[in-house]
Amino acid sequence: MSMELEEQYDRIYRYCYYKLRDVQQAEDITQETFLRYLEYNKSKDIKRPLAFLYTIARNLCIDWFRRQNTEELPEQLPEQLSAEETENHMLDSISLRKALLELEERERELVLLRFVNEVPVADLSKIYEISRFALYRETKKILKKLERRILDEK
Amino acid sequence: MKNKMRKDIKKHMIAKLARFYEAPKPLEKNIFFQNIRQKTEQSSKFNHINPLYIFRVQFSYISKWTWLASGTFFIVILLIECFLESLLIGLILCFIPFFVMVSIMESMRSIIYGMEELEQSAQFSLKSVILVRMGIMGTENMFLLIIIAAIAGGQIWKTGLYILVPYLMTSYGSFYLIRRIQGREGTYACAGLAVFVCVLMTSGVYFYQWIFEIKYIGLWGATAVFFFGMTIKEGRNIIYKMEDILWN
Repeated sequence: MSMELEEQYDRIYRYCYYKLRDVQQAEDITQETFLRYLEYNKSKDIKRPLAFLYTIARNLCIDWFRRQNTEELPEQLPEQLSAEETENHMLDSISLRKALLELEERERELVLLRFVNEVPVADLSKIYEISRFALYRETKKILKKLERRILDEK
Repeated sequence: MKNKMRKDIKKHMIAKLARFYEAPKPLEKNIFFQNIRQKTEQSSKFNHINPLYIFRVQFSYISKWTWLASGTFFIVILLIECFLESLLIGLILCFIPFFVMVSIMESMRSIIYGMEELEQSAQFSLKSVILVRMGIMGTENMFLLIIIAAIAGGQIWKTGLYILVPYLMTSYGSFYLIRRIQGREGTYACAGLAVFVCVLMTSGVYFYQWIFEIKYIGLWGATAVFFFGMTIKEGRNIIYKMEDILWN
């Protein structure tokens, strides 16, 4: 297999957790994603396995929301770790958090996929069904937004 | 200076982003992959079977009566070639449909005797079993037919073409009948078809001798190509039917 599945597990799980904010659900959907991937992989050759994995995960999350009859959780970021940080770092974190919260939902998801989970542009463009150039422009725009917000804070 | 600061901010920012998306540690990752590995090991025993192994297994399941019947037809044809040279091509063509019938009956045994479900749950899929059996019987038939055509004398390609027409005609008809008629009735229908093709060929040899003239060889060729195409089409339909069984 070209892709290390175990390595991707944590990233897909992080993505599902970001979407659902529920540890058990996120883990269930992550496992379902991998099972579906493996089942499909048996019979057909998957050209972009990473994009395929994220697409399954995303669709499963959407299905889950539909079943729950709720909308995707908006305007939240996991509350973690800031207690250990120094005052300086804390200030940085706060401004970055604020900047992230000002982004649109799709933009925040893109930040997670591109900069945190490090999904290659080619796979991302497949997931979002847009061209590489469009995706490149969009990520650049998001970074600029974040940067501007932080600079304003400073 | 401002640019450098911007670059630093960007780097710093990207490095920090992960913290905002951090999730609690997954609890069942190791168990999940352990189960996957176990299942993969179990299924790999079946998935990585050498294709020759499937051939060997299916070869051993082909009934001895099938070999005996094929062998008998072959010997009869050889005897005709040795002792009844004047009636040669006509008699050969009469025997070909029965020769084909025996092979097709053997290849389709699972379908004729309603054993599809059992074969589906076995080590190999029904599709691969049927295809391998058809492959074995087809190879055996071709091998024997080439010998027959070679011994018959004259131009080998011409004799081969004469033999191929009733062969493909019976193959196509048998596939069609097996697909349409379930159970043992399918076998009787195929036997009826073999008799019909035999009568057709005999009447051709004795009453319409002119069709064996060289100027009509193109017609034989076209007929062979037509029935070859139809046989492939019917074979494909049988495979589709197996997929239906699988999905249902």
